[in-house]
Amino acid sequence: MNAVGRIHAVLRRELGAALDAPSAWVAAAAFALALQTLFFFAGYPIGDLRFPGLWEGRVASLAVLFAWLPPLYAVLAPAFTMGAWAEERRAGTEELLLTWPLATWQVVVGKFLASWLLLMVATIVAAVPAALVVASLGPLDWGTAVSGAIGAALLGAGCVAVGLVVSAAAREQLVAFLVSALLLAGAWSVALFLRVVPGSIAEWFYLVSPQAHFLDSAARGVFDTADAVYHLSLVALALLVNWRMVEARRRG
Amino acid sequence: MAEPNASQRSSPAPLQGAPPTRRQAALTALLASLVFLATARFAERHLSARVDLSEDGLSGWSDASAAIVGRLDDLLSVELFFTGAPKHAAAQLHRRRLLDAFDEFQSLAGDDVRVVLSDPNASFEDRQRAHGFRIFGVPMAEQSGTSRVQQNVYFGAVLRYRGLEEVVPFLSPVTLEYDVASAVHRLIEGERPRVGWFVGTVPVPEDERGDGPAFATDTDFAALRRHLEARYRVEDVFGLESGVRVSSALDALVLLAPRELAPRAAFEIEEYVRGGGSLVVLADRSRAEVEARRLDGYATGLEDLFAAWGAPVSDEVVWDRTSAHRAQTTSGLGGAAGTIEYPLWVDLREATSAGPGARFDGTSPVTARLRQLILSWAHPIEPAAPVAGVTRRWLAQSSENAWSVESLGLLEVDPVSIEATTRQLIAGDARPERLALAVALEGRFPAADANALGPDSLGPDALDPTSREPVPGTGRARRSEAAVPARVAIVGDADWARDRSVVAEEGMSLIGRQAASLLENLVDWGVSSDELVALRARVPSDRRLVDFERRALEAEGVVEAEGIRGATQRAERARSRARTERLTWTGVSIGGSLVLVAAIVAVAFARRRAVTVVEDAPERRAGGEA
Repeated sequence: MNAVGRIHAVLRRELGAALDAPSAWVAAAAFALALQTLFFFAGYPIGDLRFPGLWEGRVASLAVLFAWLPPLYAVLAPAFTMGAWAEERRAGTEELLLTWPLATWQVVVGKFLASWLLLMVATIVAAVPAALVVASLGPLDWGTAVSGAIGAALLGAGCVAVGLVVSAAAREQLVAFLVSALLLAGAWSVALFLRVVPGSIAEWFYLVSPQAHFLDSAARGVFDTADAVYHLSLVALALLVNWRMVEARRRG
Repeated sequence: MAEPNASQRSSPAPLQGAPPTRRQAALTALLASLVFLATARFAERHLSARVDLSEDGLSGWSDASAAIVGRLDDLLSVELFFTGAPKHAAAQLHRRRLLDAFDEFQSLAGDDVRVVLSDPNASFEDRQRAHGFRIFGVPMAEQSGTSRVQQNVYFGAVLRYRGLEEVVPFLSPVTLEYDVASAVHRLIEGERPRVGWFVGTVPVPEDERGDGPAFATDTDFAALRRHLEARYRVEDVFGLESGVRVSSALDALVLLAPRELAPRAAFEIEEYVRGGGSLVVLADRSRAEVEARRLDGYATGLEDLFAAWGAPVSDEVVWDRTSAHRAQTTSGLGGAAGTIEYPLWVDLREATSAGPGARFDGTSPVTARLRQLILSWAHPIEPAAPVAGVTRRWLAQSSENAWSVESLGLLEVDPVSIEATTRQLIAGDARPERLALAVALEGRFPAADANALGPDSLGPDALDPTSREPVPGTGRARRSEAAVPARVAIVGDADWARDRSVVAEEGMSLIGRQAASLLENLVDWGVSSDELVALRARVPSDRRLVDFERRALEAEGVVEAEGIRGATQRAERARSRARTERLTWTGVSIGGSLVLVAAIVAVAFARRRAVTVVEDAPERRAGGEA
């Protein structure tokens, strides 16, 4: 079996385990319910980017839906990743997993892909029906929708990668969930403090915020290679740290 | 990350319960964070390439800008007077966005553009030069934590091309493209377009008149003239009734509230247009004396011309029930302030705004980007039969709930009278309809009559308002036989362009800026600067959703009987139906999501069941054999 086959085996194991547990699909359903309620009725009344809900604004746009993804991912991604390492360790299956004829990086990548796929499936489940309803009631800008979807996929990958690092470092699932949720929510909320920090710091705040790399670009229909580099480097470095931690434990 | 060898596979390393290398991991995480920040910063500075995937394509520089910049055949130098290190966060982000945009501008223009940065905050010399170009710092102050950040920030630019200079005193990301591209356009053109300016007369009150004339030139359009002078050479047009020709060198002629023009003046205007000149007319036919609450009607003197061109301006005024402007009033008793919805002031809104009402045309670049304008006592342009060879496009229209009414004389501004008039109109024979408020005409314009000679000129030689020298007119001129293609725009109101409508305490009001944009767009369209009009017209497409409420109200017949704001039981029933429809669609969306989740769960259960069956199969087979 080659490396891809081994990663695929880990991916299937993780996905199977996630789908067998009710928590994944309950989380997906809750996410869809929350996202759509906010999209149709509440709008996005936070920070500089303020949008009315779909029925109030009466414009065929998914801007509100995209605006809510970073804060909701800050909850959903940790929910999908919290058990990836912490639960293995608690249940004592981590030892078993690492005795398999697999390189550590293959396990790390397999777990990452499984959590990311789960997040994407949850996003598709929540967003596609909403997009179809909007498109049937008005002329939706599909170019912006596709760009936003690509941006959401990259954003989700970053969130999952961070969540996995925290899960690898934490002893318990709950701790992993809380810490990664706090980290991701903190990164999202950075954009809210831009107006109260000095100019020299503001640029750095903006640089790390998902607003700069998702809401101000992909969610508006503009694909920027710098955003892709931002998200992909976050994923690569987070996976590297994750591998380093697991590898250290394996050799420990 | 090499793959494990065979010995590793057979004898895995022992694991310990707690992470043994927490310190190392923390160090790795810290290093990775730093590498991540450095990578993100580097990518932002050097690896940024943007592609606009949206259908509207509003991000970045448009094709119209590319076309203007493509006409450069020499080096364009852009000196940016930007504060180097803004203390204020908003200014810092403002600066970053502008610099990103100029990076893209340079990519667009290639070697034809050179951008240099000067920092007026850091260098006294640069500050002096900036002030010399009338680029001044904008004071920005905001509480930041416990300290107060205060700084004058500079965001101006000077563009130089072939010895000419254009200054943009303050750049904003929102208007950047238009500001820069129009400055480049002016530099390439070299000379500013020439625009003729003719303002009608107003009656002089008897107590102020004395032995003087009964009419004087209306001086109430000074603010918009100043606005146009920043971009055009604006010249007074005079002596039309004395037979002084309108110079064919003018790129456009603007007539503001012309009043009872002599036939000879109308003839000169007709000749100018038939000779290929562009004309913009703010054709008011009434003047309101607000204090006396009186509306006096008059003729423009151009009625025959407008009729011949297929766009006669009515002497009646528009009564728009749906788009009535909410106006402040003061009572005669005690001067108490109040608010009324005044149907004689039409609240024109942008083409893409939600709900019913008076709208600008979203398909014409002249009006596509305008947001709001109040037309007071506007005169509808009658939909006469189209004229052969002239295309006609309505630039603004009232709501569908409007009537053309005779409202000259005493103005009624109390809600009871207004409501009574509305009820009379509803009960009357005339059906409410959409009325045209502005029109754009293009083509070869016919003559007002078939006479070979124009009317006689009046009076003595006219005085040139600049040189004060007498200018002789032609006694009786011959009418041109063939017309050259030209453009004419007519708006059925001039009050929106008056100083009292556009001037605020500090510069122009918000509505005033819209008025300035409309006039500027009309003139740009007139002088055929279609690239500039297209730039200003860059707006998102109309993406309004189905209006459930309006559809329900129309189905119930409420719109026809009571207007869109009807509040009867029937109207409430219609609104309730619209709410139900919205909830149904929300349910469809959420239900769709839940069905998808259920499908995934079903697949997961089916998979688990299949796995279980496969695993059990050998035992079952064995049991069977036994």
